[in-house]
Amino acid sequence: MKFILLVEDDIALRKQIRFSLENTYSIVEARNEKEAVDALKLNKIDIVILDLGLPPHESTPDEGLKVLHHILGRYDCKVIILTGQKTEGIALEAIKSGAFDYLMKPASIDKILYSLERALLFKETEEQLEKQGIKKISLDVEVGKGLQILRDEADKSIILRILRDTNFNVYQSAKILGVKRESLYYFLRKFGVKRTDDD
Amino acid sequence: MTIETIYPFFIFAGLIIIGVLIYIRYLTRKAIRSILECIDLNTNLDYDLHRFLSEVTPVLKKINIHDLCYEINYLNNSLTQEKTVSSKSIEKTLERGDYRIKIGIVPRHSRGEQYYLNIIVLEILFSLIEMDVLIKIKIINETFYKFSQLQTFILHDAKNLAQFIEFLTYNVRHIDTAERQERFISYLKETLPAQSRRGTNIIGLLELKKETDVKTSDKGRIDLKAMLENLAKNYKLDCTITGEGSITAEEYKIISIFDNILKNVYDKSLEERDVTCKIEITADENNIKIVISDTGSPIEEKTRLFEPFYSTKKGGLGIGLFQAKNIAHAMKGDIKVLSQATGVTFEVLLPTYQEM
Repeated sequence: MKFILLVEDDIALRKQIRFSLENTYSIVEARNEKEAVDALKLNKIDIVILDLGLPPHESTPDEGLKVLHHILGRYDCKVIILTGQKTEGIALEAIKSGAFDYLMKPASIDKILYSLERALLFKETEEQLEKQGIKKISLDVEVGKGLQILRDEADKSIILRILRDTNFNVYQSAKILGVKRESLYYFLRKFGVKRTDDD
Repeated sequence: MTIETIYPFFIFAGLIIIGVLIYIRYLTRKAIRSILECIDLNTNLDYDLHRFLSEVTPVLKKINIHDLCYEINYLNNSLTQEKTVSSKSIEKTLERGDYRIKIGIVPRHSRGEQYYLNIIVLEILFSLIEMDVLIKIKIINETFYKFSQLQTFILHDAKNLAQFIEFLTYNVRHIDTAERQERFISYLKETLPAQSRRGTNIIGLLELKKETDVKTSDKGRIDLKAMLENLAKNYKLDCTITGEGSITAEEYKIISIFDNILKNVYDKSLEERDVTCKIEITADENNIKIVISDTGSPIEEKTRLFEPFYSTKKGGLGIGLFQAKNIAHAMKGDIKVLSQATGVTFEVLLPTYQEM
């Protein structure tokens, strides 16, 4: 069964979403950023349904975006934003950060379920591709600033991804990437990559 | 020529000086009286720029200011009045980010000492008008800001409610087994108190006013310990509750008081590590005291804590504690706060029973 993390501070809504999905998926709930981070550590989550207005700053998207950035830097799960925060800037920021979909409350159940199915399809396809040694990376780069920046971003993104997959095992990561350990250390220094407690 | 022969000149010159001084004193007093009259007029008109400009001319005429002209622009508003006489005016112009003010006065005389008095009158009039413009800009900006804050809060809750109804409708149609039905009901039982509190909060926000006590028939006996345990459980607070007590009051009001206080502790616990909470209930025949202490950081500006629309929280509306205190006051109780380096303590004092 696929795992879905519901990050929603409104308990009544959270329970109703849970009820509508729990026959098909395993549901994990979180009311705030802290609980979401803990839930991600403890479970292998496939999809996150994320509200952006979380306590203690319910009227701003800050807490939700914090969760989004935390997820996308560390986990392979797809994030569907389901929020009442309506500004183009927030949607842009969420999509730019790598959210899979952005749904405005109140969204129809059909829309939510459709988005969920698509996210799972993407996730499964990416997993299959990974088994064949193909990793999907996404980059945010400004076009027109030269190809070196693009190359660096791509290098950084794939190195970080592999390091996380191997739990920061440099030997194993170098092997997967097909480079020498020394070269990997060079890149780590170049990109200023350090292991954090959360990784 | 002897000294005696020039005495009359001295006396004459002295008399002239005295005469001039008396005249200047007369003019100055007249000008000051009119200036004070202008200031009073502005105050009495509640710093309303439009009304002030339309009513100030008769006051200025008393000090020989024939006419007043102006061009005032602020926040896309424009107030203009041309000179109605052809005489020369004295003008002052100021342009800043949000506004532009150009004021001109047309004095009847502009000779000698009168010129300086005219300048003083213009400067004071200009200051009064600039103050009115600034007040207007501040009020407009703050109103827009607060309105948008309030709208954001209500929209957040209203959208959640609409989404809740959307799911509820779908779920009701998809209860296919007895087990699912049971679970559906248990979810509703678990969450309806929170929905009810949400509804109360929305109404509270929209009816933002001084709370008044209501008829006794709406009141019931409330076990405070059980209620506080429930609220602390909702917020999953690390909280110990000692003592017991009950109160006869409207339940939603009591919940509103303590929900607002505990929400503050909860918010703090999300940003600070290991925040714990202790609640002590003590009661006598007439009053009940609930002391809620947390181990979080102290309050930044304690004196402004209960001020409406004041919040140190990003995007905060600053209404919760203001409402809580309002409710407590309406019940002839009070809420006090003590902020120390070791944490914050709220002391809620309420009468155990209110007469009709």
